[in-house]
Amino acid sequence: MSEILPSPPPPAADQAPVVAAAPVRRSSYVRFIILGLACGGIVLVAPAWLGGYRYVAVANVTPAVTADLAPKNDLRQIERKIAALQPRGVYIVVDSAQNRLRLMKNGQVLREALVSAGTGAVLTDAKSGRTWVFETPRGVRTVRYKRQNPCWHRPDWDYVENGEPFPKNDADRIDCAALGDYALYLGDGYMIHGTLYERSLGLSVTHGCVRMGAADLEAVWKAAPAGTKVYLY
Amino acid sequence: MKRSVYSLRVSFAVLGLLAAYSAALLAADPTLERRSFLTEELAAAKLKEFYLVFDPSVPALDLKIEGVVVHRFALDKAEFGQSRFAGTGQRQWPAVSFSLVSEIPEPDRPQIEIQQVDEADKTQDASVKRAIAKGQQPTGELSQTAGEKIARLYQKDDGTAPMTFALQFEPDLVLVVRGEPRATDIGSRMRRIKYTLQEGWQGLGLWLRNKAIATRVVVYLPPQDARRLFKVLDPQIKLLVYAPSANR
Repeated sequence: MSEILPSPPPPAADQAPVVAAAPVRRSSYVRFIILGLACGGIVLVAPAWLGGYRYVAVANVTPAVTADLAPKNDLRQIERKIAALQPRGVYIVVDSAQNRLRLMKNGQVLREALVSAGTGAVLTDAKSGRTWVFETPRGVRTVRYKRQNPCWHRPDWDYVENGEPFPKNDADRIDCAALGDYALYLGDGYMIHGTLYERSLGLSVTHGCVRMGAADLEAVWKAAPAGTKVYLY
Repeated sequence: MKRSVYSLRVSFAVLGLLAAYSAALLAADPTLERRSFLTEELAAAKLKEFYLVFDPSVPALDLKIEGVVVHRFALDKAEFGQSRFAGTGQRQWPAVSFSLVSEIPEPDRPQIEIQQVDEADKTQDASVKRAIAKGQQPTGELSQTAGEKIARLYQKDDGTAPMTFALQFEPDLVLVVRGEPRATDIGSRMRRIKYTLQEGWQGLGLWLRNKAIATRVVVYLPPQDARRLFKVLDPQIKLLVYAPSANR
């Protein structure tokens, strides 16, 4: 008697037949991608490594020496010459980007103040074609002279900026309120002076001068005699 | 004949060794290093222009004029790099004094609009100024000036200067300033990888073209300081490498 074995159930219509080779193929793709990435990485990184730099901390690097040193000056002499260039008494340092002024002596800060320096902006007079750049100058200057209750001779740009006509009489240009109680003159029309606009201290709002608050200005005016060095950067 | 050639070779070798020894002695003499630095600093200070002094031991970059430090840029980290093609010998600065040769772009300059002040504001301003002149408390405020309007529109330190930049100095030095200290986020890491790959490929390109590969100094400092450093640069500004006194 022959036995009738049950036949296996037919696969469902929506079920894909299982292919035995599929896992092998997938892993070979992955391997291929990894290999490709590795080769690409080597091609990219190896030349960069070869042409690259070896870095060490700068403290471990030997300083250079100048080959043609003049034999006449010894260390003390050179140090004395550099010291002779430095200011002896108080000096002023103006950081025009941070709008800070420091009154200094022997490298020590005696007083630090919030100031206003130049905008760096440009004004153009459409009528005459003249142009002004309102920037606080960089470099070293000296306090040429000082004035208490200074008056300002309004220059042309102030009229242009405010859309006002130039006065016919030169005396009409005098403004004795704008500069505050004190002014230290640095040459070329630049000053350290007071302001009616203390609300703007800390902002770059001026036409190149350095504006200070009343209390700080008084302290600087008293401490810095004519001839004081002013470093502006 | 053979003997004389041999003795000539020996004498050349001895001379070479002596030269190398004396050069090593010369390079390691702190007094000579100090004297070299001071001589260069004196020359720079006499010019009455700003110059930078790099102090590797701190590390810091000092902005100086006439021998006076006006601003110190404290560095988080500073590294000295030499091309792999230069070999593995002793690291030495290429010179004591360097001059900037990279061009510094002119800053963006906003244009001031001519003020249109109405009569009411003019009267108000005049009254406030009179009160201040008399030492009285003014009623009301002065109207906004052109400078104040500009300052509000264009804050100077508001990202107008770059945070990461490379400066080419002569002789053969590149100062790379990175305003991203100890940034550990993925973006900063990727940027650093990109820089490393770039400088490697550049180095390889120079080597293949038989050109000199400049020494690199990479300094890391806070972003706002990096921007500030960019702004203090003058064309051809000098960079000196500080050497301490021998008895320090």
